[in-house]
Amino acid sequence: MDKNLHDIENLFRKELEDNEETPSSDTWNRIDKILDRDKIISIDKKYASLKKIVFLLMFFLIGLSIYVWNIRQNNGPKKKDSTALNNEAKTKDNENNLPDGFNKIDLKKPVDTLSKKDDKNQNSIADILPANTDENILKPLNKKPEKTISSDTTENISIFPISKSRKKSEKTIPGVTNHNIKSSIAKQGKNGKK
Amino acid sequence: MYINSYDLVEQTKEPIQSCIDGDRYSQSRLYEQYAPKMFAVCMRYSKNREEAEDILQDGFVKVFRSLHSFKFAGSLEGWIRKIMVYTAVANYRAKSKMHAIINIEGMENVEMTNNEDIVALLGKKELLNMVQSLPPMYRMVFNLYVFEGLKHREIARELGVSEGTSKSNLFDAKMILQRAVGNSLKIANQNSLNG
Repeated sequence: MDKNLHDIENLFRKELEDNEETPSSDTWNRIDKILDRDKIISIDKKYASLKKIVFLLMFFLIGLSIYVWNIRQNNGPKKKDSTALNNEAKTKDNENNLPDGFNKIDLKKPVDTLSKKDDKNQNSIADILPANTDENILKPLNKKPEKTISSDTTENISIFPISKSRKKSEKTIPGVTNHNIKSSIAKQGKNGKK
Repeated sequence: MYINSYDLVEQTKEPIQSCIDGDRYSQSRLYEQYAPKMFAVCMRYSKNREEAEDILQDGFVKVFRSLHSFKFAGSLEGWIRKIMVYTAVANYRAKSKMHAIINIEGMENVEMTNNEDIVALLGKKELLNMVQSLPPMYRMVFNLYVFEGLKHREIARELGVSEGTSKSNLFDAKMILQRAVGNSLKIANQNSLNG
């Protein structure tokens, strides 16, 4: 019995192991349709993943822009401070880089204390500035007053020269001209004769 | 002409890559190459041609979908065959609740003659019909044990039954086939005597 069963096993194995059967052509058509459907689904999936990526990228960009905007908002005044500090530093640098003969001016000190020092500066500016510089600019600095005005002086000294025409105009009475005076004198003479 | 295994792999790599890329012509070529052998396998695991075609269709769809995972470690035919077998098992398990249990008691025991004589008298087609006419559970166990060379432990795990059930099912399947062969031989002998 066991031998018979073993034979049956071998019989079927030997005969059916390398058997070949031709399926109907319809089978491939069905496979083809399923594969087509798969292709469409895979394309949809591709686009779905692309949509996800685009959405995430948009979300990230919006988040980043909000973050940057917030940082700018918070750091705005600080930036101004920093620019002011930079300017201060620049002015300090400029002061340090002043040419020889120039002294730093302390703006906090009273003006009287500065005057003496300024005299020295004025001389030095004249020395340093180039020759073709407009002389008028230097005049008020270089010109020393010839006479000082004091309360003790009895003489009437005009500080600025008055022109002759100006002197004439000071003597004339508004509304009265030389011609009018001459005609009025002539009239008076005529009346006196009469 | 001697062709080494490396050349064979290189030769098969290109069409397989085309199949992976979704080239329908390459896929149809692959199907035409392996479909007859795989259909024979599917026929053994199914009760009729229609069911076998369904298994073949599902199997090939799985092949094309998972071809990218083929590592060229073994033969492509063996890999495809494995997919077909597991597709048939999955198909069986999906329908297992619908299968009726057959009582083989009372079947006539038949003494076997020489294998060559049986093949000469019956033919491959009749032997295949005998396997197809087995109850689904017996057919599965018989196929997995005889043709795939699985052990009862593996069969039990695949089919979700106990090892003992697998052994008894195999025994019963062989008994049924033996009687079927005996009956067919009797009919064949009678026909030859009459003819």
